[in-house]
Amino acid sequence: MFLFLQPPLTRSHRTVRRGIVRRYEVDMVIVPATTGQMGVLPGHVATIAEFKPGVLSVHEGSETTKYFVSSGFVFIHANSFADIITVKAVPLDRINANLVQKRLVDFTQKLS
Amino acid sequence: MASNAAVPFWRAAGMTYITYSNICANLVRNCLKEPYKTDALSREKVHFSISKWTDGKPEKPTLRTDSPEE
Repeated sequence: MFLFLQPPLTRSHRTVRRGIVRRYEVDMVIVPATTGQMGVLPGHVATIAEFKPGVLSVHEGSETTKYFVSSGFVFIHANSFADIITVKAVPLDRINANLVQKRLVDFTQKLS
Repeated sequence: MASNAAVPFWRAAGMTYITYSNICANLVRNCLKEPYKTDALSREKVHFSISKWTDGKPEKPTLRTDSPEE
């Protein structure tokens, strides 16, 4: 409800490969901060948060686009601009679930 | 004075944030579906020549081709 009265949240998303991938106005972004999933809405207090590897979801109206980010930061500015900076942000459908499982098993075995 | 913040786990493991972030990115790259995976991995290959300098002169350069796996 409070989205009406606030300026739209402008999000610029930078990855190492493409410079600014996208810069557009969205309603909300949910980012995988080290302290947990954090929802960023217009009017959010200025914050810097570090990511842990996880899912970033961008909400525009009724559409949600999800990306997996490897690590990175979000800088939320006082004017409702949020900069999301990552090395890798991949749309979820580009991830091969079998490979993820296999590598998880491999690495867990190496750990023990 | 003692430092206020706890040392982050990657710093405690002896790496910088950039090394940690690149390792994470690499793990993700290796889990992609096919055309994207080879594209991403080939994009990260580096090919360069290094030469050490002594007494103001370069020594013989070495060529290196590295891919992201260490």
